Amino acid sequence: MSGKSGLHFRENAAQAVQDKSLRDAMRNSTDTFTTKRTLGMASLPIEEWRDRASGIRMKVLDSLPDYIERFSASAKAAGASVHMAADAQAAREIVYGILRDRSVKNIVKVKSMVTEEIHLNPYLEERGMSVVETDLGEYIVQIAGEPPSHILAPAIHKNRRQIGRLFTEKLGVDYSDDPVVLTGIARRVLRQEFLKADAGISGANFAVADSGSICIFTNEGNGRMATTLPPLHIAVFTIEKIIPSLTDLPTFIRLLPRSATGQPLSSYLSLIPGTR
Amino acid sequence: MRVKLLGTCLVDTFFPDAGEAVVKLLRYFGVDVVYPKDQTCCGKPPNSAGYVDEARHAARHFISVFQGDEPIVIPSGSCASMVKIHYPELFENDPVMKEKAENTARRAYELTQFLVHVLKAHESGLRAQGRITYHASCQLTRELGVREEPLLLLGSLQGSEFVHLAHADRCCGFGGTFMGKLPEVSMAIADEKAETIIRTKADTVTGCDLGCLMNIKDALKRAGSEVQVKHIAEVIAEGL
Repeated sequence: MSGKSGLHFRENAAQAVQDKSLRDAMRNSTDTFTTKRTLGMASLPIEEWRDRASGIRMKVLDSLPDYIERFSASAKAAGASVHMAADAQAAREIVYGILRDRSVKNIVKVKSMVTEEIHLNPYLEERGMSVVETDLGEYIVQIAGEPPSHILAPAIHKNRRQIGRLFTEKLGVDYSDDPVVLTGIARRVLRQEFLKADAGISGANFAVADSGSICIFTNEGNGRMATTLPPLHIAVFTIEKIIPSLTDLPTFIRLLPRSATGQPLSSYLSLIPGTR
Repeated sequence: MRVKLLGTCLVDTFFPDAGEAVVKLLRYFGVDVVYPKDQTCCGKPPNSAGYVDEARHAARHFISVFQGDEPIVIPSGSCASMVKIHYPELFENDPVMKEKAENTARRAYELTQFLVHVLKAHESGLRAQGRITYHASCQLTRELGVREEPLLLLGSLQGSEFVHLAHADRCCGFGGTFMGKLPEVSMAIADEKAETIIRTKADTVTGCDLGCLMNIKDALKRAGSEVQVKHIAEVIAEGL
């Protein structure tokens, strides 16, 4: 994973398959995910839940403009501001505009694939803002200057020895390849970032039309820190994340963590309705 | 009983022995096998590549060539999933063709479905030799839902030993046009599949899709392995 442009996928992939430690790391992680998922799904009516979830998604997609209206009205009633972006450039400009108007300098981020896709971090950094990823895997790839390689496990391509060397080089700490030690180092560094942040940016796993709330699944507590500690929270998400009602949420709560990591529930499940 | 047989492009082009094994096997069970001469590709490759009109053209031809009341036997998970799952979808907006497509889909069986559910071949004391392992191909398992049938058949073969393949349902790297688009990644995936096959110490690896088996055969050859690669029909037909 060289961090080169994704526009040369075939060349990058051809080079990456020659990297033995990368292949080993990917294989280990994939095997772990697959096994956990199989165990997490065993003896549950998963297919029935998936059909129900798919039905909810199709219902929303069939009347998407209505649901966008409903979500916007509910979110505004709960005190949030709602902005619509037609494309990536519009989304970057809207986010930057909000941050600039509030003189934001330091931003903490919760893992969000859509902000990766629209290249939000470099856009904000080029305009003088500091952006720190707070999910451990995202933090690792950010300080390595690489894009995430997996939507659930951004640093899936790195083994603990590589991460140990990276921390020594970038953070000036003593070398360790003990995951507990490495996590402790990241925790101490990130704690300072949370405390000095003027804004938190997250994505959303779901946006609930009837309550105007957004829902985030995380395992590290960084999602809750980044959305509650700084005075400003911006959630960037795509319109197909909308579900009709809070009563639809349990179907997805059952499916998402099990399907992703095999967990019956992620460590943190945050429902954020408008302003506090 | 009479059936119509789809030869499949890969049997026709590369693996005629597998086709002969299918016919031998069906005849062993007293089945009268009709091979419609003007059959062509089922349209799977264009459909997967997004050429839906071309796929629909092939499907119309297939539906016309295979019309009738007989079961249609297809010795390929991916061709069978095309006929059973995708044909009705292709004619969503054409009620007359949709009904014909659904009729064709209902009559179509992937070979092991037909062997187990219609012929009860797994209860017929079939025989084979050696240590056999099995690759579960993607469309066969995920689209068509055929997981148990090949295992029931292979587990029933007297005189042979069935050995489980680790991550048997993991892709072999073939992926139809994927192999042509990203050959380096395809070969890397195939090499991992070959490694897990070699680790079973089986002397034969089998499966229900010749596309996968062709890819696996190539990977085993690169690895210098002696493991034989055979379609499931060949494994069973050799013991008759």
